[in-house]
Amino acid sequence: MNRTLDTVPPGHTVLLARIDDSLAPDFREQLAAYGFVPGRALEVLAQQPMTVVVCDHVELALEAAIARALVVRETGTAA
Amino acid sequence: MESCADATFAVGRPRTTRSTYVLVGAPNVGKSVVFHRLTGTYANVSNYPGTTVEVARAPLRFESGAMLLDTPGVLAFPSRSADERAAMRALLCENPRALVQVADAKHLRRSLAITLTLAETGLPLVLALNMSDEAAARGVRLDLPALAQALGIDVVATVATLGEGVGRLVESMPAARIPRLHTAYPAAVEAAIAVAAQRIAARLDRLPFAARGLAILFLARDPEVEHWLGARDPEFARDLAATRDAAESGGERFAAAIARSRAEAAGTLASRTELVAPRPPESRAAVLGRLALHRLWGPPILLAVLYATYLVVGVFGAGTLVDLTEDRLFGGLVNPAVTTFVQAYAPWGWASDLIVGPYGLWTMGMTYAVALILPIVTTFFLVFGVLEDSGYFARLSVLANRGFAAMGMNGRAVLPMVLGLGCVTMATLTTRILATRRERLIATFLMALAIPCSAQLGVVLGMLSALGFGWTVAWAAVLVVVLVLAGALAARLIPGRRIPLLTELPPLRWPVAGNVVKKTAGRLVWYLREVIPLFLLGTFLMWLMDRTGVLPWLIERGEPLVTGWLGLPKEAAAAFVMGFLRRDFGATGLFALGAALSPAQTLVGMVTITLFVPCIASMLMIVKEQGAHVAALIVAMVVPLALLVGGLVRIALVSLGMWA
Repeated sequence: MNRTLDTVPPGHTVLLARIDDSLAPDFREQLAAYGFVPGRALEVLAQQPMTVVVCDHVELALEAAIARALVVRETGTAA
Repeated sequence: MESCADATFAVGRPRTTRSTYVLVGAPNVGKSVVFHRLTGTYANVSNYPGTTVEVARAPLRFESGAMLLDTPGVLAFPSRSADERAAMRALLCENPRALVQVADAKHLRRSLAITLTLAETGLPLVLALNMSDEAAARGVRLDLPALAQALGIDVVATVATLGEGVGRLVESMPAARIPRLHTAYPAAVEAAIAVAAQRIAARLDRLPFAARGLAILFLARDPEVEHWLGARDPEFARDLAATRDAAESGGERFAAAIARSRAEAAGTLASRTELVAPRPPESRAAVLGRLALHRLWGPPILLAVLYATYLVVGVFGAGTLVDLTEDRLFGGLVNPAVTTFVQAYAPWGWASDLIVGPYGLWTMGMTYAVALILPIVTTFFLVFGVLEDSGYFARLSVLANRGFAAMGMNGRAVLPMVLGLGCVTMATLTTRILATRRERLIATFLMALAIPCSAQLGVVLGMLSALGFGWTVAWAAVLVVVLVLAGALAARLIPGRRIPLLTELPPLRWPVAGNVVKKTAGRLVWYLREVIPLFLLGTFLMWLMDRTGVLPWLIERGEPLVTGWLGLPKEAAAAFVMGFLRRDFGATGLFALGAALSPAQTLVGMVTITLFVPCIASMLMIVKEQGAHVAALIVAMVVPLALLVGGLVRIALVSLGMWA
C-alpha cells in the first residue's frame, strides 16, 4: 500500500520507503542531505499548517507538495 | 562571473605565498567562534571575489604567515545555494594547506556526510566536533578514536565557546592528514567517476583537488566546479558534460545516486561511532517551539512578537533614537556647523548649495541616511538577529507561507518583505536569500509597490491616527489587498514555478548575544557600504533635476492629475515628487497641507503616496540588483497603479458619501 507522509497523523512514526520520482531533483538532494534515506524513521509532529517531521534528530517543516512525494511504510512492515 | 581558473582572477586576490587553512561546516555549528579562537579577530568580513556572499579571512594566531579563511555554512555539496557556492569557490581557488571541518557533535550523521565529501577532495583534513558539551548533556557518547581511525584523520572534540580542545586543534592543523575513507557508489556511478577522473587527470595539470573529487562533483553538476572547468578548458568541459549527460540519460541522475550513497555511508559511520545516541531535548524550548506553530497559540505568539518589534523599532528606534540623532545631534550641532563651514569656504555658490542646500549632499542625503534611517535599521537588525538566532524566524516563515504562496513565493520571503518595513533599499539587497530570480523579482516589485518603509510609516501612521483608528485600518486594508492582488498577478505573469517551502526548525533557544551582535554589525556594514552611497547619488540626481528645472516641470505636469483624479490640492503634486527623494518628505509634504485636507483626502493622499515609487535610493538599488530594464518596468507599473488605486479610493469614498 502506497502511503505518503502527508497522510500520517501527528504523533506517529513511520519509515521512509522511497522518494517519488515526481519530486524535483534539487529537493531530493536536499532531503538526502537531511538524512531522508530509505529505512529512516520519521516522526510526524504536525500536519497543520505544514507537515512537521523529525528526521535524524532534526525538526523540519515541509509543504504538502513535498510530503506527498515521500512514500512511507509502517515500522515493522517489510520493505 | 570570474573563476580562479582565469588569469584575470589574480587581480585583487590576496597574495597566497602564505599557507591558508579553510574552515568548512554546516551553519550554526560555531564556526565563527572557532575562527575567533584561532585568529583573535571576529571577522574581517568581505565579499569573496565573484560572489555576493561574505567570507572572513585573518592571520592565524599560532602560525606566523598562515591565514585562516572562514566560509559560509553549507548543508551539503554539490553546492546549490549562494552560500554553498561561495564555500566551494574557496575550496577550488584558495589552494588550502588543510581544511578544518567544524561540526556539531550532536548531529554526527549530517556532519559526516560533509566529511565524506571533503575526503574526496584529497586535501588534508581535520575534524573538530564542536559543542561537545551540549552533546554530552544530551547523553551522547562518541567513540572518537574509532572515528579517527576509520577516517584516517585527527578528530578533536571542542567546546569553542569555552576554548576547550582548541589547543589540540591548533596542534593538529599543521599535521593534518589526507583522509583515507572513501564512499563507495553504485557500480554504474563508480564506472562513470573512474572514466571522468582519468580524463581530467590526463588533460589538466595543477588540479586543486584529487581528480576523483573533481569528477564526482562534476558528475553531480556542482555549478562552481562546472564553471571552474569551463573557464580552464572550455572544449574539454563541454565534452565531459556531453559524456555525462549521455551516461545519465534514461537512468537516475548521478547527483541523486551520489547524495543517497553518501547519506547512507554517513549514517553507517555515525551509528558505529555513536555509542549512545542523543536523547531528544524535552524542555520548555521544545514545547514553546510547537506552540509557536500551533493553530490556537501560534497567532497570539506572533502578535506578541510583532508588538515587541514595534516597541523596539517603532517607539525606541524611530522615536527616541531618531529624536537624538536627527534633531539634537544633526539638527542642533552637526548641520549648522557644516553649513557655516561650507558656506564660508565653498568656492562657488552652487557648490555650497550642492552640499548644504535644500537638496544638499550633506544636509539632505547624509542626514537622511545617518540621522534618520541608520538608527531605525540598527534597531530593526537587532530585532531580526534576535528572531533568527532564537529560531523563531524559521517558524515565522512557516506561519507566513500560505500568505506568500498566494503571491507566488514561499515563507522565506518573510525576511526581505518585513525588512522592507524598515528600509526598502536594504530589503531589496536581502532578496538575495531567495532561491530563484522569479521570487526575487516578485518580492522586489511588491516592496516597491506596497511596502512603506519606516521613514514613511512614522509620518503616515501619525497623520492617520490623528483622524481615528478607522482611517488607519482603511489604509492598511487597501495596502494588503493591493499587495495580494499585485503579487498574484505578478506570479501569473512572471514565468517560472513556485518553490515549495522546506525548512529546518532549529530548537528555540535564548539568542546568543555574540551571534546577534555579529550579524547586526555585518548588516550595518552592508548598509553603510552599499546603501549610503546610493542615497548620496540619489540626492545628487534630485539636486540636478531641481537645478535644471526638471523637478518644477514634473510637478507642474502632475498637478492636473492630482487635482482632477485624486481630488487633492495642487500642492500635493510637489509632495509626491519630494517623496521620490525622501519617502517621509512625501508624507510630511501632505502633512504640511494639514488643515487643508479633509480626512477622506488624507486617506487618498496616504494611499497614493505609500503605493507610489519608493525613494530614489531604493530605485538605484533595484537598478543595481535587477538591472535598469527591470527598474524601468517597475516604475512603469507602480506609478499608474498608485494613481489608479488612489483614484479608486476617492471614487469609493464619494459613492459612500464620505467625500467632504
